[in-house]
Amino acid sequence: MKVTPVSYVLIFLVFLSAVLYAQDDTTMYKVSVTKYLMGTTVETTARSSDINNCKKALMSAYEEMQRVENLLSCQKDSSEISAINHASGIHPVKVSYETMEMMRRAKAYCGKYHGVFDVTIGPLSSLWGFSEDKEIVLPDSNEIKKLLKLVNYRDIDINEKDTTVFLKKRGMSIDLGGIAKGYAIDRGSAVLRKLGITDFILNAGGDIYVSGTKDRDTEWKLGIKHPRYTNDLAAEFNLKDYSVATSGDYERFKIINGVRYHHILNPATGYPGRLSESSTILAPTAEEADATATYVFLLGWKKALDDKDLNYPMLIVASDGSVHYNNAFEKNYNLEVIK
Amino acid sequence: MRRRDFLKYSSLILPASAAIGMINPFTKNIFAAVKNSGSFSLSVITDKPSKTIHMMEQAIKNSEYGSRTLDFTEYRLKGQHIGDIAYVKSQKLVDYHKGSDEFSLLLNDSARVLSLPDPVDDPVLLRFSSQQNPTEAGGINIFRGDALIKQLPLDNDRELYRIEGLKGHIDIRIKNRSVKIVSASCKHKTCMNMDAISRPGENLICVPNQINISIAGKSALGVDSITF
Repeated sequence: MKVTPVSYVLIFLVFLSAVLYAQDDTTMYKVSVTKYLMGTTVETTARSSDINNCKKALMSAYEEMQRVENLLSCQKDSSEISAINHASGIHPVKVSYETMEMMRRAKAYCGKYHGVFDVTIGPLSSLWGFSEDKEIVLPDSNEIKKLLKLVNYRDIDINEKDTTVFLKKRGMSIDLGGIAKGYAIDRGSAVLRKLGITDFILNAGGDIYVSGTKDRDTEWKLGIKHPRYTNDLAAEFNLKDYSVATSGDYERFKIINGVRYHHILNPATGYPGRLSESSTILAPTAEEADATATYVFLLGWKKALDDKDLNYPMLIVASDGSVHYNNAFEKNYNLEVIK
Repeated sequence: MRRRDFLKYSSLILPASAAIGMINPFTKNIFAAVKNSGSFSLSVITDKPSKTIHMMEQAIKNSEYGSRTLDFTEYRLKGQHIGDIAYVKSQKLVDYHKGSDEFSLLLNDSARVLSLPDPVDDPVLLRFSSQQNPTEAGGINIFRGDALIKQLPLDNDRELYRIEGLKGHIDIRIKNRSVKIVSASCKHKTCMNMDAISRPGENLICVPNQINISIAGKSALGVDSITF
């Protein structure tokens, strides 16, 4: 029999169909695991044809996130950030290259966001105590004024040659709460991809990295929690190979004399930000989304949406409950505002 | 978990019965069949998770439930439980011991190899399911860390139910098929700010105590994850 070029094409097409059929035939599993890390719940759903292999990859990702928490949490006395805080105003602290790089990026975000986002907010975070096990009471205003003098990212001295970090004023402290969780998510996601898991959602307390798709033809669908009807969604959208983070006033708060006091503190006043109920930002990395969501929450929707340099898809629920978003979000991510 | 409770919760018979009971008995079966067509779940209590997962994967692969995407979850259980397999098809518990179809035969073989049913200490609960559509609210699942420590019915009001956590305790109230945290032993009491939950997929979380209280069932919100 003579084999013509057409025959080759037909043979190739039959082979291709067989491969595609085999792919269709594979049973896939969405494996879900939840752990408590970084003072929140970390939920991962990953799609894989091999559950045992997927579980091993997920455990490795959680170990990596735990390692990042141990390095960067100011709640842990043994972390390098706590060592920097304890030595504030006294001496520089030798840190790992990873921590130094984290501090360098953190300081850069503070500069980019004009100090509205400031990781030296630590003394005020401790005073309010939303991240600690203490009763939330309205702090003395004089105490707030006194501690505000310690909040200034320019007083972080990073020596790249010696890999040291020094906080120039005694009593200063770093709180990476608005950024380290994002970095941990990025590290956990990198581990999953390295171990061959390409389709997953990694959600650490509402900050999320989304990789790949839900199935061959469907993107993962995410919801934004409504800041006041917290069992409902404010909006939903699709995401692939991207991050989202939300800053909101409804997760850690206390109502005192009819006023809501929450954990997102304005570095200019020392009091909780008042312009937003929540801000949701999409960015290439969870770290970037995390820091930017805090900034936009404090900046308010008008300035955020007017800022040409703030080139992120975003949705903000303002303090009056009105919902604002930009075209970048609406057009590219199938955004649907629910209420 | 007692074997009877395990089978009861695995079958989701309770929530289905509650919903079906509200409509004309004549249409009960039709309603149930349409509402849950194609749903499948396989729950296994075992102390050999890796081996069991591999065997269930092989059984599912060769069954009508293969060639699709299934949900998988795994929870630890404390204490002694009866290891067993519960196979639910369209919300009906199937007695795979008596079944002559290929999947039942494979499950029967797996149960024999795994020596089930049999008492096991500190096992895991593995769950494979294909539930695509939202469901009625099931029972209340209470987790501490990654262990399922208690299951409570949603329709039995309780003024106060105490749950011991890692650092203290919280008290919940179950009233009119909804659950609320009413007191907590910690100082900041953040979890008490959370709204009461009543719909499938909703949960209440106390992070310091690593307690998660969730309503069983598939959420109607229709999203894969939520940013907050």
